[in-house]
Amino acid sequence: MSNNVSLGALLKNGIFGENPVFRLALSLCPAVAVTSGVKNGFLMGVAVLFVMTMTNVTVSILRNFINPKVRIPSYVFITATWVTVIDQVMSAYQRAVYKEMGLYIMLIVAFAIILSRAEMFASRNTLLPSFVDGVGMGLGFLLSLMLLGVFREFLGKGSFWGTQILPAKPLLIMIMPTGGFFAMGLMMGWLNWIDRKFFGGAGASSGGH
Amino acid sequence: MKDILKITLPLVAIFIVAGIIMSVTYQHTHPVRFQAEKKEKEEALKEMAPDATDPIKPAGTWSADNKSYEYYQATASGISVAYIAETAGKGYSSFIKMLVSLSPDMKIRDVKILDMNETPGLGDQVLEKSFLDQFKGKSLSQIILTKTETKENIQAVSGATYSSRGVTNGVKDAVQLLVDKYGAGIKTAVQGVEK
Amino acid sequence: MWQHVLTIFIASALINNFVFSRYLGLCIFFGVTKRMETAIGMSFTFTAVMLVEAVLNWLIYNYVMIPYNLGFLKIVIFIGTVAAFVQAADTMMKKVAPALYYKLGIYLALIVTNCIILAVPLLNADENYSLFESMALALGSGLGFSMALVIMASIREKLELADVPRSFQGLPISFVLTGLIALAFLGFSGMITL
Repeated sequence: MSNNVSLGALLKNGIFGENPVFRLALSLCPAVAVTSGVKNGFLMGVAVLFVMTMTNVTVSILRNFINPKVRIPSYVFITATWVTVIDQVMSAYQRAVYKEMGLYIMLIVAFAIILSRAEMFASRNTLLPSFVDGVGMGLGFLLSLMLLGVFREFLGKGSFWGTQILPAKPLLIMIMPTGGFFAMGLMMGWLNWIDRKFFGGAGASSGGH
Repeated sequence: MKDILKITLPLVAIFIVAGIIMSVTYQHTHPVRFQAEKKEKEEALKEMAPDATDPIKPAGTWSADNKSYEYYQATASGISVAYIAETAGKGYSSFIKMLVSLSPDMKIRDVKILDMNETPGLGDQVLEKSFLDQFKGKSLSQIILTKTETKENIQAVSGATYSSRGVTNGVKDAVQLLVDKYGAGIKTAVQGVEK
Repeated sequence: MWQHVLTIFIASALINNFVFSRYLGLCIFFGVTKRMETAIGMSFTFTAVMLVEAVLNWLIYNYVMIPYNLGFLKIVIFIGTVAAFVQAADTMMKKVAPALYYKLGIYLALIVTNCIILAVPLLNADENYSLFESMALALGSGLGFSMALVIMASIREKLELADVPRSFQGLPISFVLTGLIALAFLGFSGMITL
């Protein structure tokens, strides 16, 4: 991608075209693990958005400074630094949520999506596009997590963001571990179907790391 | 040699800057986290004995399953109003950490779950009031888990038998401890939880 | 004490299975289970690396990080040791056992940024496990992961012949399948209580 791509298009690409979860099928673990409620999905998304943007920006600034031979360890190290920062902040200010998903916050460091954006985009682009790409990808991730969260929390607990909407729990299984996999599979399948039916797309890629 | 320097120096520079960023964050968040933890604990204890007017102080430590827990005595103008103990029980997939408070006549006042990691949708039903409220007013000999409806004992949440057992065992250990420490004269009839 | 170690081992393999109840390692899980042979190769490599990493990081955590109050650096340090160990193993295997390298070398590269390798030392640090408990967690998790890979690979080999709706081909149907296996794994609840 070069500079003739507008920033708006970059943002859109992250959210729709190359949505990290549903399109690239990257970093699936947290997408299933923390989406039993909307709030958890949202906070996880915010953490990823932060790490994603900061890593992209840092890599972009340092792109002429880092020797290509050691670039991967450098990117991992940069990511780990920002993950440590968000981990510290969350554990201090969002304690209740952190107790539930602290492990997954720490594991953001191993997200394929972050490393791959650093390698494929930020290391070849200037500051502004890298920043926008990070925000776009992060938002794409955040929205996917929230979509899954809304779906699962509504069906599993009959509530939204902890507020009870339905008098009963329509489909308890949705917030159980198995439900995460079902929700993810169904959502991917539906999005593929919508994409093919109404937008003439080819559907998501059928896997990868 | 020159190449190695060329590769290493920028790396070292990155390490140093990153180290500084992380340390600064740690220094800023550590006191906040420490305070939050302390406040959480104080609030939880306060909730267990709302009528205590003096600050609740640890009275000693006890251990179960190789882990050490604290117990407390809550007083109002010098008179004991409640005994509180930290405790834990093995649930299905985690240790369920709890606080249990007893009134001076050795009946359970309240049970509060502090920390657990049970299966969402199944095991976490033990958090519900309808289960925990069963403990209120029960004495040591009544803390028996059953699967049928009961007024005398504790009824397990269906679908969460293991988590219910974890909670019940933890509560029983704590009550036993507090009765041993403070309940002189009150009978210590202990029966195992129904397997 | 040994009973506790055994409990951790079995619990981490079955009840808290990394794939089915902790949702970790999904990328690898869906990536390599298209063929049985890759799944088995991956299982061996992962279990071995997890065990070594658990021991290595336990030593570092308990003898360096705790005494110097550096717990907050654990993410950076753990991922550093993983990367360093994988690099070293890669180089050594190439020299010492080329045949083995030819078979398993490609998986090593995938390990560096993988969440389950990193999850083991992080869990050990969180739970303050002893050395043997850490090893039990690593072995159990490795075994559980291997089991998940082999089960999924054998199902997916059959799935090739199944008539799946077009929108659900590939990943979506694999997710639904994983959900079903996870449901079956809930049945281990009666076996042991952690």
